[in-house]
Amino acid sequence: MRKYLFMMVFAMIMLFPIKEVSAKDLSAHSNVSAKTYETSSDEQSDILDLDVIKITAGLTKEQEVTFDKVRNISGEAKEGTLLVFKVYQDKEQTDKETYSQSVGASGLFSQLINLKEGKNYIEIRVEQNENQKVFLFEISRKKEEIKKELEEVKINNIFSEQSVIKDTVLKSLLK
Amino acid sequence: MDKGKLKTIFLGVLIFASIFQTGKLWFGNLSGRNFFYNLWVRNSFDAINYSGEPIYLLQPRRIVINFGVEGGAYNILKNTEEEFKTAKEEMTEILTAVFLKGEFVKEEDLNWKNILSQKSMLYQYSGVIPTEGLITDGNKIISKIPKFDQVLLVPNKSGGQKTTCYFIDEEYNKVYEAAVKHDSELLYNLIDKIREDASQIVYISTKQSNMNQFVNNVFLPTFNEPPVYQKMAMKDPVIEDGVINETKLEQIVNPLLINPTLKRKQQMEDGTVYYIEGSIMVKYYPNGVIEYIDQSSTIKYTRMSFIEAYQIAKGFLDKHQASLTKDDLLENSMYLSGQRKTNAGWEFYFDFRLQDIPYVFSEDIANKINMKHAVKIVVEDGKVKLYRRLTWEGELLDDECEVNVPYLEALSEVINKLYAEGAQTIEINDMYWAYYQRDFYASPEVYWMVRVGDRLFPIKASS
Repeated sequence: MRKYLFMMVFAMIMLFPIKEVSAKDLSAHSNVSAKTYETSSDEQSDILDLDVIKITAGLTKEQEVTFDKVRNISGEAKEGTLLVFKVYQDKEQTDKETYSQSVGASGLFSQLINLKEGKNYIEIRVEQNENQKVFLFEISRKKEEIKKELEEVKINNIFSEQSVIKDTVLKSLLK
Repeated sequence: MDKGKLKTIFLGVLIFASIFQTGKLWFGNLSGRNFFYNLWVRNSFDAINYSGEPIYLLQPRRIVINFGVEGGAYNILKNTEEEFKTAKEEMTEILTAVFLKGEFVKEEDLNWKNILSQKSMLYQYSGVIPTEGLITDGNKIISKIPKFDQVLLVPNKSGGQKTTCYFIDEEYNKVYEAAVKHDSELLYNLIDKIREDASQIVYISTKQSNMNQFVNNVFLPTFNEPPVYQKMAMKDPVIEDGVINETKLEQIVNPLLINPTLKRKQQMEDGTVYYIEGSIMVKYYPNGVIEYIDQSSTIKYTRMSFIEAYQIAKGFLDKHQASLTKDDLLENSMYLSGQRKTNAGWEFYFDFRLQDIPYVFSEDIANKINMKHAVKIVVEDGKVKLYRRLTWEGELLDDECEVNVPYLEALSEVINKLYAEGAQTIEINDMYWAYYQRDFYASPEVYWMVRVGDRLFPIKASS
């Protein structure tokens, strides 16, 4: 029993700072209130329904970690909707990459985003008639070397007794 | 002199004359009538005979690299690149291993998102490939996979692991999974290498992006900097200043005949030139089409598998192409763009590729030349009965054009047209870039080709 209690307390301690960091980061880098995006409940569970637009690929949650250099964000919106994508690493950054597009008869939008190493903030401004909404996402791109290190370590060895392998994996994950 | 001696002398003269005449026929100027001609100087237009397993003949129309990333990011290999050749060779090695010693895992309904979730290579073919005869001594796997139109290979990093192979039949929404213990590290590393050499164009999958307007899984290019293409012109090298250049025409026609020195030539009033030798007739139409017809009578109908017939057609085409290339003529690269089984055999269609993208001509041109593809080959009774091809050649021009119309803009244009026609639902089958020629005297330009059912909508890709 004491063992289970100990595990529960340990899990709560681990989970608490993760949640804290998430909320803090978004509010610190954006003038937009951090929202919790819900994925649609139908069988296409990877669709992110934001009411005014639906993101069908490229973003599934507000914060993500990746090794990818590019990300294509595509989705659906009403014809005539104007979308402005801003990509930056720092809120104060003056040279934010900006792309805009107007949704045509296809009712689709698609934008290719280049990701830099570290944190990438993707701001999507949606303009429909007189209404305007802004959504903020964060994609953290990890170094390619970490991926290579991880690939070198066989998954079945992670739980082995060899402390050297364990250390390599843990170090890679914490970088 | 007695009568007998006279007869002997007369007979000797006759024998000498016959030997002399025969010698003249064989070794003199009439060498074309030479009895031994066929043994050493004839054209021998036998198709190229390929050794090895027939599966080596399969040439994918497109090879798509799947980087296996969130949201999907793909690259399409250019056919002229060394990587295309490497990927194709590796594929045939792996498929041969699968059919010889692989294991069948399962058959299930096609779910693109599931199978595209890993780093992989997708080989797309034109039309459906029946597996019958692909391997001469294949194991029982071949009977469980009747046909496919695409193959997805999931390579492994280390040689000791299994390579998974998905045979996709998109038309019937089926996928057959097989696995084989085969080293595929080369493919694995090739994907990584291409991923590192970041391309200006990133392709996305319509199925992975939940684009419901597309019936099939289509790979669409996305970019922030528009790519640039060189402008092209299409010319018939046979026509020079409005007149037929007979030397060039015969360079094209002669390799198709068994004994070109024996051919009879006839030119009609409309400019059509006929060459006849034995049972072979080759016509040249001044709009830039040659037609080879083997008029020898059909003995009996022999059933041929796809790969048997394709081997004959490809061997014939490659042989002709090799002799044309030797003369620096008609060097456009070609790909199999379709096939059809008929009551008497098989029909194969090939099309040109210019600068690594397909060349498509308008319906108007198609009606004028009575051809829908650049090459048509009819195989019956184990031989080529008809071979019709364009004698047009693509020439690079100095000008360049920026392909700056994104696929969404082209798609919206087509959808607006369909809605204007009263369409209730939108079902796009395919969408790709092509050098499109509107009419005879216009140069081909890069267009978006949007296929909806049997209709093709060309939308200009540069504004």
